[in-house]
Amino acid sequence: MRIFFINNDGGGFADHVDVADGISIGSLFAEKCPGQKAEDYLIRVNRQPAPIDLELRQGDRVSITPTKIDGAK
Amino acid sequence: LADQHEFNYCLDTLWADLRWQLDRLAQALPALHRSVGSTGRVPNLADWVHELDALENEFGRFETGEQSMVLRVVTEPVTLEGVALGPFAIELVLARLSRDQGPSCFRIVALDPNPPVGREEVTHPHVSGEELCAGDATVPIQRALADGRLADAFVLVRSVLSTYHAGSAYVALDVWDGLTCGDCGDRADRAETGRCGACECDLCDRCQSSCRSCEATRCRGCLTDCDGCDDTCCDLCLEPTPSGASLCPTCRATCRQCRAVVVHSDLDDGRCEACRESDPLPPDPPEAIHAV
Repeated sequence: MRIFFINNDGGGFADHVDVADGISIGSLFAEKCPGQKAEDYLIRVNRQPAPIDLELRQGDRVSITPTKIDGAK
Repeated sequence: LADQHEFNYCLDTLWADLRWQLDRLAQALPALHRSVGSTGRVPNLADWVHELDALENEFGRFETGEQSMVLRVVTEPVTLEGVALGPFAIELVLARLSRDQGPSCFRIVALDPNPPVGREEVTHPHVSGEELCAGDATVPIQRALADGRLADAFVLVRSVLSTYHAGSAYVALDVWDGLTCGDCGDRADRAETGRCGACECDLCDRCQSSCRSCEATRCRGCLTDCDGCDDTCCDLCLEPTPSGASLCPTCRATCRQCRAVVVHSDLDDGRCEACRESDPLPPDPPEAIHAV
């Protein structure tokens, strides 16, 4: 199935991606952000907070945004 | 490799080269992303409504101002490393979007400002003059604005405001309550600062100098080299001679005949060279008169 996936970490990826049917938010996060902790990110499904075990559906909009980002001067 | 082999003399240069290359890479990334372009999808009216809804969900509320040309949210009070910086208004100035779709479109206004002493324009380690230096969030913010993902852009700005990056702060938080050194301009912890006894400027521990004669603390600008021994001394300890030299107490002496201040080594039998030349026979010293 296809979802619209936004990863605001790093380069700010935003595009449609193919994922396994019924994949959970937690599994998607582990796949897209290996080695990272979910609690360090705002994870939204269709712009709403979602539990980590929520199963995604075709056409869902998923965004992942780090809660801490290094600024500069 | 150099570290492993303890090539210590070249380590600084190699680290500097690495930092320079990383800076170049960081500068090249925005252009690379622009060349790739956004998702190409133009947001429709429903998208804008969803974005505003999301903004309200993330921040509690949003406001518009300046004839709807500014979209504004307010963060929770920010405290970093124990330093309370207060809440910030994050304002998207829509007119700026036509110029540069990036962090500079945002105005960051401290609502309860707590700037460091002497740096009123700095309201956050990464905010100066109401401009956010977004660092690692620069590219994601550009992408979010280009795609019309307003809520994402605002949340990314908030993530920067919630983070302290000590390596690249306008003012480091450990010296936020400190002082600016009057000599080198660096910030210093208040406990490690001194004050010049002459001009009363604050001094960091590296710049605190003292007069070699009276040992009073002075800044570099208030110390002068003695023309006799080259030691740095304060103005109070230096005394000018008729020849224009400035001498410290150790180097100067007073001619017992003309009372002029001269270099100690220029005296012979207590008299300066000028007195010796004009009057080869010295008068008896006062002590000698009493003795007679």
